[in-house]
Amino acid sequence: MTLRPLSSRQRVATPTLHVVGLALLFLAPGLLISAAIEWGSTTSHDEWSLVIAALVSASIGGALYISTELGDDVRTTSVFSIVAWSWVASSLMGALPYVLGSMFTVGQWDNALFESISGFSCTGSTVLSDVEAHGRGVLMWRQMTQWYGGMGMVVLAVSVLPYLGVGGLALMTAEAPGHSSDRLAPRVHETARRLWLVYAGITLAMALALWATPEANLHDGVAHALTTAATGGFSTYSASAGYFDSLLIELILIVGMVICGMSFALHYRMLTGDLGAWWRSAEVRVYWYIIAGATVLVTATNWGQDIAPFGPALRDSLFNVVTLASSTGFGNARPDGIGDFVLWGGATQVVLLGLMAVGGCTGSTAGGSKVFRLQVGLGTLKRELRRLRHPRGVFPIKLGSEAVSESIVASAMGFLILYIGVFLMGTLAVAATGSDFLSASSAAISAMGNMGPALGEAGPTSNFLVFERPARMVLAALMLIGRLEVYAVLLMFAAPFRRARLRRRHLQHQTARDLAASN
Amino acid sequence: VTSIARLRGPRTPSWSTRLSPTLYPVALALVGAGAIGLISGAVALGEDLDQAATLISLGGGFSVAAAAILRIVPRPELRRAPIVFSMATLWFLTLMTCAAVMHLITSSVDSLDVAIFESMAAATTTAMTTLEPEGLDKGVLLYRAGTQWVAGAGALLLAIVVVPLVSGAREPGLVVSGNPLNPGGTGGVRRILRIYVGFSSAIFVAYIAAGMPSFDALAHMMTTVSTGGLSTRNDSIGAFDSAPIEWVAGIGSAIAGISLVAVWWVLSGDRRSIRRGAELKVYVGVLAIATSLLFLSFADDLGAGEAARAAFVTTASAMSTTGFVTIPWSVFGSGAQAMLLLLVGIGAMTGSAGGGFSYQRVILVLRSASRELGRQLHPASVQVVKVGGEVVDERRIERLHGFLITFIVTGAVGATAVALADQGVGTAAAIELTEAALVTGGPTVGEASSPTVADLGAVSHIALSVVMLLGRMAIYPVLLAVMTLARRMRETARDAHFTRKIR
Repeated sequence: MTLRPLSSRQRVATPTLHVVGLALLFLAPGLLISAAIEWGSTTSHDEWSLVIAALVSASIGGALYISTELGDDVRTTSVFSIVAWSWVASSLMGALPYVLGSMFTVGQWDNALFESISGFSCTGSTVLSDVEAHGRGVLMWRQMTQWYGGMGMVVLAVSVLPYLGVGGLALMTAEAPGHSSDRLAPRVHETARRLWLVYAGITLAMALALWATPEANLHDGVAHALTTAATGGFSTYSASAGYFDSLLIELILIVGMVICGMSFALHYRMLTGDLGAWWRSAEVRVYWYIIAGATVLVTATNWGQDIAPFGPALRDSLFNVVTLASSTGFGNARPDGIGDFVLWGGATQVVLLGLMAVGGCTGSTAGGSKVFRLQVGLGTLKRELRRLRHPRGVFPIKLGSEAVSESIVASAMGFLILYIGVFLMGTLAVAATGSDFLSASSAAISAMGNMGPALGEAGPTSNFLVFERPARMVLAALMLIGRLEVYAVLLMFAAPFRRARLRRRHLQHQTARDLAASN
Repeated sequence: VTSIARLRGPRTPSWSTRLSPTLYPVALALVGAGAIGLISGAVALGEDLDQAATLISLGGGFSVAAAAILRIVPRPELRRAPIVFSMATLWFLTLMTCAAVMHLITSSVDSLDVAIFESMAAATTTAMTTLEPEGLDKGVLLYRAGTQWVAGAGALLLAIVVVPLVSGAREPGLVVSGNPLNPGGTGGVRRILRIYVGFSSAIFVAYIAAGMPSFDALAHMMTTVSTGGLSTRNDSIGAFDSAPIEWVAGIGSAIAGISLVAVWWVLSGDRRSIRRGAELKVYVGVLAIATSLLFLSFADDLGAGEAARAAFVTTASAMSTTGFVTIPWSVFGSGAQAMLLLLVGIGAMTGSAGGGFSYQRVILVLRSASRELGRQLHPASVQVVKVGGEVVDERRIERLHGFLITFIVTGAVGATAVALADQGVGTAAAIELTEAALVTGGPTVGEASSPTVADLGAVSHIALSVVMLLGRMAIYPVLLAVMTLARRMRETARDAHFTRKIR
């Protein structure tokens, strides 16, 4: 069945509103499922808020979808605005059930928006101080926002819009670079569909594995599977994964987080028989080396500094390294463990900051600046060192055995510069509201990398209410900027500006023609 | 005879010629260290005769050694980058070693790591110290300040003359054709030293006129023009509690952070170059904006005059990486602290004695990022990066990207090393300390102020010393020197291996 609307002269050719409408339509089923769960909840009854939100979402989304069309071609300028506005609209709609229900009052709209953006961007930072106090349905919606955001609303749209064509490829690249570079099928929408299938499959496998453990029930299993696959990190408990106090659950989560921090295209190839797909990827190998190296260093430091005996040190170090390297952000703080990494030594925290900055692989659901760009950055460094000795030498940057084109190197470096620039501005803005340097900088790096917890006052056992209201809004903006990899947000106004410029020029020409005709 | 000469092959250079790239910079550094030792000893004569004798002997010894080397060793040819950068690294290391010897002989420090840290701070114009200056003799104080002054001159020559000599316009960003201080030959060196000495004299007179005692004026003049920032007082420049002195320190620091090329434009009335100088405009603009923001945050607690002074001196000191303190940064609001940390990180202008990432690099980096933003919209377009109306070479941009990554990696490794070596050092303190060392800045906020530096262990002192040297030399020259050394050692080992095999 195709979702392509019937052609009509009344429809407005605006690709941005068309895809935004589709994104909002996608939210309605999730909201209705959450409403059903909330109906059976014993702690609260916010099902009507979810139902109303579903109706609003479906109505606005349907109206936009029906009354608009993509037009003949999706221009490059429109691509970024489509992606960014889809995410903004989804985040706004996602906050609606929080405000309509008992989670936040209308006056706390900013908290609701923060929670929603943190969900869709798969960040996992929260402003809830007592998560368990809320209904199961609302909490399931919170988990679902991360699942929607994990693979991306636009990738979902591309998977059901076969007529997007080449524009779909550009959209996928703009939303999450990496998906398009490794096409799984000649047709873009087929690639998107397969990615979503792998994503759903991993989620299902995770849910079953967690449900099979004695400590987690079906709700826990599904809820945590949704946010593990999305590398989001929201939990239905204030203590996050530490609530279960189970080594088995932590191991399942570790495996899930590592896998979801890797390219989903590679997972598809693995599942279709190419067993060497993971190992052949230079980026994945480096990602594994980073996790292994950081785990050894952090464990040795925690153990060497007598913070914990070897066993607990290894368990908690591994979990926290993986949760930050994959940008998931689950916490495993327990009374007998050392999961609260705010209490660790300075050296380990510097390593954790590094992990937050790098994040996972391209083509995954993970955030951060990505391992690929780290490789390109270090390749640039290595090349310059070689050029010092041989100034006229030509040294291509290689990942594994493959040379990276200069345009990709320039793009990656441009991204890193913008990423650092936005991070510095974010740190300044958060610090200006009164937060100390460590809390401000780590919160900014955590938000940009879609991690969840930060250092200082905003550690894994705390929440983001420690920041002032303006600081939370800045951090929410950083989450979106980080999730859409900077370019989309910075260029989201390019299409409206271009349209306004064209309209102005058209008016000028028309006026000139009228004047000429009257003369 | 000709055929015999041919059979012998090319003439092997003499040992003195072969050693000249190593010994010549050592001798030049010894000349500077000797002069400082003699002057410091002379100043100490009125206070402590033993100390004076020690310093004069030391200065004399350095001078004699320098003279002996210069007599034997010819001047090396400055053609190849590895040799030139190795020479520059050796020059700074010799200056540091001389200062360390002075500290150990005069017993102003009690351990080797502290001696290395103190002398490296002096030789790299960094305002970090483990010592309380008011507990030191005048001779030692002047030696520290003098080392910073000589190092400042060295940094200027390195940035304006030496680096462009071997790398064209690629680094550190001064276009040779438009650089009036680098006309080739020794003319440029003379011009630079003339401006440096003239600027120093002006600042000395200004300090005296502002009411500073002559010894303090001499020491502070040396650490102002070199952006060193070491003071003769525990509370730095704020200890004098004098508005005119603070204004002189602020204005002096701000000028010291400006490229000497831009200073030359001003002195020679070259309005066209001043107008086209993007870096100068940005530097002055940032100075004005940051001062205004700090003024607004101070205005409630201090009077307008005092707030303006404190804001200007603090901003100028941070931007030029001088490190003078009038009000401890720990009492500032967190926003002001974060802004100052950012300004310290960016540092001064290229071609000045100040350290840091530099505004020229920031401008280039942002322009290249802006181009990538444009390329996202128009992937097939060909766009160039322009600064001051001139197209920037692509290789220079690539080199800059590499430098950015190197800068960040160096900071991260340094902070990890410091935090790993000293468990008591928090994450923020480790980052701030490393940043201050890398940009050759000075005391920063909270835990990163001087007392914490004194509490650090030997490993942290050495780690920070290495970071200071890397920061002073803009990283690459040190790495190249190390790579050259490693290559030579590898070749020597390989030759020895083959020789053994042949035997």
